[in-house]
Amino acid sequence: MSTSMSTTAPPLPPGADGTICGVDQNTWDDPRARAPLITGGLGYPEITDTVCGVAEAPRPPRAWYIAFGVSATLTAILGCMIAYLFFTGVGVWGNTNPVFWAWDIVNFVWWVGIGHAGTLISAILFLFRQKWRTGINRAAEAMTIFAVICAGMFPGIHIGRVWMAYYLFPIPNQMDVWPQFRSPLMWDVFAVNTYLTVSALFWYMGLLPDLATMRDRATSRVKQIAYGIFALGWRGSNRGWHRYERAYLILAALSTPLVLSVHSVVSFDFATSQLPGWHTTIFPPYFVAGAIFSGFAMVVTLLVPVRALFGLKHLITMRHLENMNKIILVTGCMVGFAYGTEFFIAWYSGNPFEGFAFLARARAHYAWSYWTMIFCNVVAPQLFWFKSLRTSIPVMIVVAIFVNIGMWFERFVIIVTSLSADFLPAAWDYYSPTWVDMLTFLGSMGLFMTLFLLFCRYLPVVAIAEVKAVLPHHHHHPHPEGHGTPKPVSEVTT
Amino acid sequence: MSASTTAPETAPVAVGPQHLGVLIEFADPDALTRAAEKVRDAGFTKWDCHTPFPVHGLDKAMGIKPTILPWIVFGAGATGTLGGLILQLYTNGIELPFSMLQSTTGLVSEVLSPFLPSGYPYVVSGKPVFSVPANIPIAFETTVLLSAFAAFFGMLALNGLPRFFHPVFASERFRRATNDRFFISIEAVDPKYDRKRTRELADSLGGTVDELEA
Amino acid sequence: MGAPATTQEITLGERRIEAYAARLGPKAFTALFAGALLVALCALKPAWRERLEASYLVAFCFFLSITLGALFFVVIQHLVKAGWSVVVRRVAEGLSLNVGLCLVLFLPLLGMTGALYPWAHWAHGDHAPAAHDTPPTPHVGPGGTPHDRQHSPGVEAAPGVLTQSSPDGRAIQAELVHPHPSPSKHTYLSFPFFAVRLGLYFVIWWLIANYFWAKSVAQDAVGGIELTNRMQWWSPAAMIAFAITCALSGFDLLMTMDPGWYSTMFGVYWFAGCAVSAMASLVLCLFALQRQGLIKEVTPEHYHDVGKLMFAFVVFWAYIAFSQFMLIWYGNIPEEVGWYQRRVTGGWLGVSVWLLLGHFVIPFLCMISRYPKRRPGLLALGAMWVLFVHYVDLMWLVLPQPEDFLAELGRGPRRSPVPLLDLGFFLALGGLFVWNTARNLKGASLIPERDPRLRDSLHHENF
Repeated sequence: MSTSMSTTAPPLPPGADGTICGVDQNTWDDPRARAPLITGGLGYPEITDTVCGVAEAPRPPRAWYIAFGVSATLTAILGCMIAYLFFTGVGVWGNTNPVFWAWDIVNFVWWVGIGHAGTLISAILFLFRQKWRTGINRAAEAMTIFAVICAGMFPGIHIGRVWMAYYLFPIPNQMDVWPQFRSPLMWDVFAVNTYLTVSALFWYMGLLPDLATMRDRATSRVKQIAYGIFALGWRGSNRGWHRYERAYLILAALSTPLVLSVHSVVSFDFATSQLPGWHTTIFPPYFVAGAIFSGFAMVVTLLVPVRALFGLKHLITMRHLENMNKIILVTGCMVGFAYGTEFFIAWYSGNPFEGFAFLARARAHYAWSYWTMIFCNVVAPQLFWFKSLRTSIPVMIVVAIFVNIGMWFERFVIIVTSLSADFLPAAWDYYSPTWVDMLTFLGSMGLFMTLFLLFCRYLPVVAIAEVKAVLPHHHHHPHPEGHGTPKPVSEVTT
Repeated sequence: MSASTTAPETAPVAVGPQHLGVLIEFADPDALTRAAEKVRDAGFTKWDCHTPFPVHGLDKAMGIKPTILPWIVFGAGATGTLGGLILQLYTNGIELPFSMLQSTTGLVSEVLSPFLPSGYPYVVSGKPVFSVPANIPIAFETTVLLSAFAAFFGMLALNGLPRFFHPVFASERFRRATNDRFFISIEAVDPKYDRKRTRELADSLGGTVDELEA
Repeated sequence: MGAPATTQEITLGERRIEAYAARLGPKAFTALFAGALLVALCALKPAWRERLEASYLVAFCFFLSITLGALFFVVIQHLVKAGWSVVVRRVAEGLSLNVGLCLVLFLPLLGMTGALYPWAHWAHGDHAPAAHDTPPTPHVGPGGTPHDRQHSPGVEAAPGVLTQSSPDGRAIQAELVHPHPSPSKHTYLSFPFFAVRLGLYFVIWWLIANYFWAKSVAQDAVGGIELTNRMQWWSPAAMIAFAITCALSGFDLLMTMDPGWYSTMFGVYWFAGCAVSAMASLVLCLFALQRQGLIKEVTPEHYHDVGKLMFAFVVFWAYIAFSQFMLIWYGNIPEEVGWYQRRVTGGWLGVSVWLLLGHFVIPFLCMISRYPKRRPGLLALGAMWVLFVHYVDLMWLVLPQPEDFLAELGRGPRRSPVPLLDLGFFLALGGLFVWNTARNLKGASLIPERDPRLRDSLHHENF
């Protein structure tokens, strides 16, 4: 095929026609070609080496030890806080107040929201054939599972009488009374547990071929057996791949409505009530957009250090980060749109309580939290309109952290402002957290980070098989150059 | 697993290594696809390709029929929907005679009541005991849960996994099947398998041939 | 993928609509006249004449929703730099150009506000027929006790009184009580503001549709990547403008028919209808064009993708519709339930349940497999069904309100809808719409011939 273009056309950017693209040089956009998703001209064995090298290294980088030390300490603090809570009672939190749902539920919703990015990447982006997902899906799915674990913990410890926690599950009690399935709280239990289970299955299924790779590369007997058991004897059989791919597609198609349902159900916890500021019909899609927003922010926050620390810049490229930042921008705009819609309808409805609830958010005692939320969620992501900013590591780190903060405050605003001033002023009160609230939240971050660091240490951080599958194949090009027989990295000049 | 661990447990004391089949190695997926077409046309059934990632077009080259997995998942999903609805209808909506059974004294109730828990209708938030809008979220979740189990475990079952011992693991070369090499394996148990002629076919495919022995 | 597309050397099949448009024209006008005749005949019956406006609004919203959905489709293809959709994009662009026609069709609605929107009576203090000048909120009282101000009590279908049966079979009458509208509603729901707002939306839609059409057609002549880059550059702004105006148009056209009711989700509900109907229309257009031997480049792969989007939006519609209903049903507060109360009482309950089946369960089960999505004939059948249920959905959104409203105005008791009238308007506006779509596509290729991503699209394969 000829490559002649009209005379005015500029030359193709690096990486477009089989040339090799250097680190972070693949953020160009040219309608004639798709930018490469893997830079540095990596071939199949180099991809394997790069990813497996992380887990196979005799010891991780020093930064890993420091991070692990900090997060393990925080996890220990979490354990102490939970023990203190169990032995003393929920009174140790600031919830002895009309704001009977506070930090614990804020944290729950925040963590669940963060847990949406992984499945979004593995399912929805898969259905939309977004091949760049392969560079980030493994870590994002792992992060999802850990975030959902952190989330699930909060309702569990929030119930006060923890020995009654079994009543969250469909088990009849001693009087044969079953849980009340018409309650959104019960829907939550089903939704979050289903989500955790399906995400874990999906994640594990994606891991199968890569665990087999780890098994086949293992140098010690212990590792060979350990990875071998979990690889289930995977041998890359094409009859196996055929069913595997179909199962993957089905799981993606199932997870797509599932991921929407989870945060919708979380939003039902609020929206089925009659409280102004909670009872609004846009909550389900708005919560889902916010969840994706915060989830992607967390993925960016985690992957920027991960790619630098473990030498994965050719696989988790600037283009991946830029695409995630675009999604942050889109979902940030959606969230802003939902804020606007709520305000508009609160005004339009003429319902004095609705109007009060929203004006109070912006102007009354919790206005600081409201404006923090607006700044972090609506204003800060607007920086991503500029390509130079959304491809700048410092900017994206700062914005992603702002988004994480802003989304936490969004849940704070929704939960605390609405409960602290609802209808009759007799039932109003100002809520403040206690030190136990704060340390529990910090501790949950420690748990999350501990799990994530362990994941980075022992499992393939990037989906090896999936990345290989999106390397340019040569079905339409019978005579491959460059990729068909992979080049050693040493030959590559950029 | 390495070759040394894959000795077939069931085999009686065999004289010399047992021949398990041939393994042909290719460097790139296109060569594999072309070779797979030839093996397919030779009429083998107990053979397979092994690749580090799913290779587009290989299903056709091997003549693989679409899997029945979607139907299994559909069945599981429908079961999940119905199961979720029945669970809620039964536990919140109706009181079946099991409760009468429990009210009787004696051995029957002592033994059976844990297994026949009764429903317990009670009205909460002014909703009817069985109110479909409020029952949909859980029915949806059970649908997804059962479908996902069916998709994952169905895939494993149809693939015959876990299976820790397989002839291909006998080859040390095969370790690269999960890295950067592409293999065809033809098992000796195939009815069309003839050690000499299959070896000739294997040699004609343009890859590196290895005999699988254990 | 990696290889640069050189569109010049791609051989494309027949891709001009002129001959087909010439054959289509008379058919479209036959439909227009048949529809107009049917409407005129229906209007002879006075009781049906009162439904003219509402039925017109249904038909108008139907074709507007297709147009807006197509506009959304065009803009989002540029926004996400889609490659697969290039061969079907021009047809969608042609559909989106119907914004102009919709504006023309909108003008009569300005004259109908008095019959459609209770708030149209607020400004001029017209208190004549009843206390209709305020949003009706059903207030349930015992059936036999007439404590009404001006309505004649006791009659089952008395004006301003909703009747439904209580669980024990007793008839309960819901009297429409009218609190005074809030100042915000007096501001927002006034005829001049309404007209200006809608006019503004049309201007925005017209600009977006024409911009993307003009640049896309211009690229057929000059090729290159410059125009693609420019369309991509404008697509985010266009999408934001579209999102805001689309949601607001849903509020304005449909939600304010019951000025007392509000739902933040309603804009999304309207959008879901737009998207689903546009995908269905796109399938039908492609199918019709291919039956004429045009655009052979569109393969089952493209049908599959458009079909997937149609399926996805059917499910999305169900998600939004369920969430909106369930939240209001669960909250069960008087300000909100009136809107649904109309739709779960009387004959409308059947329609509501039917919508659940027809707009979700049936298309879901029929289209979940890839089999129908890859067979253009079957997919076109599915698309027709989807358009049909979307029409019913709009009837369900529009018609129950005027029934109460007309009753309040003293123009007769509540009645069931008049399908003949709706059929007439559907034929008439549909004829115009088809004719105009063909006219839009005249003079241009049916495929963006020199789009740099055309090769991607031609070689597109689903996994």
